[in-house]
Amino acid sequence: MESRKLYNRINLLRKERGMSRQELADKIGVNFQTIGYLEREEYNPSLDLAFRISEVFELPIDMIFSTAAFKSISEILKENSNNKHHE
Amino acid sequence: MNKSTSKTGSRIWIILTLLSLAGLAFIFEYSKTAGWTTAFTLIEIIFIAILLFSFVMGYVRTGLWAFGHRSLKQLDERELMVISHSLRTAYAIFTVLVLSFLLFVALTERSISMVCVVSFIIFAHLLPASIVGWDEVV
Repeated sequence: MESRKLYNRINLLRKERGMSRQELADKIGVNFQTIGYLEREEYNPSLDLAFRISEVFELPIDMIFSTAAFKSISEILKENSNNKHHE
Repeated sequence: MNKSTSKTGSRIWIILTLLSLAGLAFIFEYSKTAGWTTAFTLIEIIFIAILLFSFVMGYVRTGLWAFGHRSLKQLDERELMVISHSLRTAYAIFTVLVLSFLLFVALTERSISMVCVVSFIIFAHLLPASIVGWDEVV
């Protein structure tokens, strides 16, 4: 069975927290190259690894991983701005 | 060095290593029937030099050899998948090659030299790491 592509926000969250790939890799117990594969969405993590990532970022799994592509920051900001104008 | 360049470089060293190993065995086998000459000795020395140099450049310096022979406990889940894929592919390639070679030996009623056997042993050890190096940047 071919697994679906998983989209994630690992790169964004890691940079937001000022973490290097090596630091994140050490925290979740993988090789730093695996972080690169995850960030490029070339590798789908196991449920265990996904939980470990969510624990490091202190966010629910569905805020980090999705089967649909995440909206970009500019799209989210634009939506928020439009919503405020409507209110 | 970007990802594609290092992958191309790695592939060139892998090809050189495997070809020099095959060449080494082939020349030895050929010289058994054609007669051993100084030219053959020289070619064998060149093949050994290429084999050693390309092995160091493509497998040792890149960490490919260490990665391919690392304990399973030291690998993360993605690396385990990479190793698993490489071992499965290596098994298929090695089996087909060795059985084809044995069939050829049986049909032509030749004898198998020690150099051939040693080359196959080296090849068996190189193959999984070669597949990893071919597909991935370690």
